[in-house]
Amino acid sequence: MNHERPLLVFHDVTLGYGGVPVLRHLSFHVCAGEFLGIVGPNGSGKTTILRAILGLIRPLAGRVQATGLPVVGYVPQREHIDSVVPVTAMEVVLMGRAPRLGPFGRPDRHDREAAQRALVQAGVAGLADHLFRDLSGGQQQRVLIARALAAEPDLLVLDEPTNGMDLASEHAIVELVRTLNRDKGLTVILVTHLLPIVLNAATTILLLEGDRHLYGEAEEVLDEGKLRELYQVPVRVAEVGGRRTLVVGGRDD
Amino acid sequence: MTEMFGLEFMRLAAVAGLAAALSLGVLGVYVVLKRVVFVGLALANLATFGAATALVLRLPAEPAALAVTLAGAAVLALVAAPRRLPAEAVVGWTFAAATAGTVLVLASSASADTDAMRLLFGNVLAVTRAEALLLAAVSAVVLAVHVLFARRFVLVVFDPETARAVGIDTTLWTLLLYLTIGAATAAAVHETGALLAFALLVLPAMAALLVAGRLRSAFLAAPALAAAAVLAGLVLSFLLDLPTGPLTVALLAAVVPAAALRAQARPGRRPRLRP
Repeated sequence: MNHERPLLVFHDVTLGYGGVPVLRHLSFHVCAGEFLGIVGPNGSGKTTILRAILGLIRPLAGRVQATGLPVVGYVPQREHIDSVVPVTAMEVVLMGRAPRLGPFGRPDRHDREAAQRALVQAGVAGLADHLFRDLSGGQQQRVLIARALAAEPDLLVLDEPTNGMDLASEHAIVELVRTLNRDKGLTVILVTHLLPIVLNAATTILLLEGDRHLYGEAEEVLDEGKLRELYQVPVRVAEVGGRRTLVVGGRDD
Repeated sequence: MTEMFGLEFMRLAAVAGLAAALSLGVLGVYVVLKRVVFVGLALANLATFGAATALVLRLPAEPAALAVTLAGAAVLALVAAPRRLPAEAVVGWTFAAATAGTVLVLASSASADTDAMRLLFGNVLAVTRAEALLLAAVSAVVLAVHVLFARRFVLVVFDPETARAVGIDTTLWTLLLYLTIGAATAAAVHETGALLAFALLVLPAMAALLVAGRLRSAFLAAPALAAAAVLAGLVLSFLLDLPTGPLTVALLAAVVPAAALRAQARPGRRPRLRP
């Protein structure tokens, strides 16, 4: 486990809405440079954890502690964005600078340069003047990642970034996030309902299943016995061509 | 033309009509993009209800219309619909209640027919100097707010979840958006009538969003179209001896399908990333 000072710590946290708990006794932390994958099926509370990380809800019990108020770059689900609005990719990326702008929200040269750098990092510099709504799902996702990067974040938080994508686009997005984590040292939290998405990228994993959860370093969490106990079916991680892949069922099926 | 606008009532009508066109034209872009078209209709009817109540109580109509509309705008912006209902249902309730209230209030007035005609259909040709100046002042304030804070409003409309996540108070900005829509609508309704105010809010924005390639262009095209329709409506109604408000609405209604045809002739292309 990374022994650096954590950016974000969940201490025995219970989360819920209107006083009704959705998740209980959740403890995990994210250190600088880590890649945390939060994985669980729909309704398992992933979005609730995300909302707590973003400070949009308060825990019913326990404590969420952020060290030094990290700047968070947030990449929402593409489906939550109203693509009828005719804004260009550059205008979308400039929105990432919003917390750093004055009361009128007007970007200056420095903000435009930061947005341009973010577009380059996300591999969509050539799309700056195109309308967001005209882009493919993969291109839109890259623009949203560029918007989060334009905030010059300490922590990049992505909510189901590969939803509705074909295999190639899915792979490209995961590789982009992995590169930002490994090469640029950016701390990442990626929320997904598919374990294979983070299998080759995450350094730590939080698995949610029913009212149980499993948290730890990737190697530790991806243990066959632990996965079997969590999912109640035989699940193991195999290596194919130097990359991890998930095998469900098999040995005692 | 010079002779036409040599008449004071035409000049005042032009000032009032243009003031309403410019502010409602800009606000309409948000109303259409946020899919809250009926908020405009509900607020227009709330303004009518406020003005009708004031007329019956022999109070000044404009402040009453403004107060009732701003209160309604705040409620629509801040109060969440019951869990089992979509937010639009609350807008529908507001529209129905305001319309019924207006009719019932006017029914208790001795001059009900005249008041009802003025309130529902307006008469921009009967605008006084004070009324035109008030409408121009309200529109100027609304436009100033939207020019200064355009980027904040766009972020909150485009992606409210992320706006909240990065610490922007989306409730405050949504409230401000609805209050400016309420103020501009209330100020316009008494002079132009609910029908023209609603049409100026929705139809130019629809046409502008259909033809404009960028949001910035839509924000320029919508008030420009609204203003052109108001002037054309005034001139044509003068020449053809037809009612100004409905003629202006008919012109705006004709512009929308024309814009749709033009947009269909120029479909957007999906760009490819250069290797």
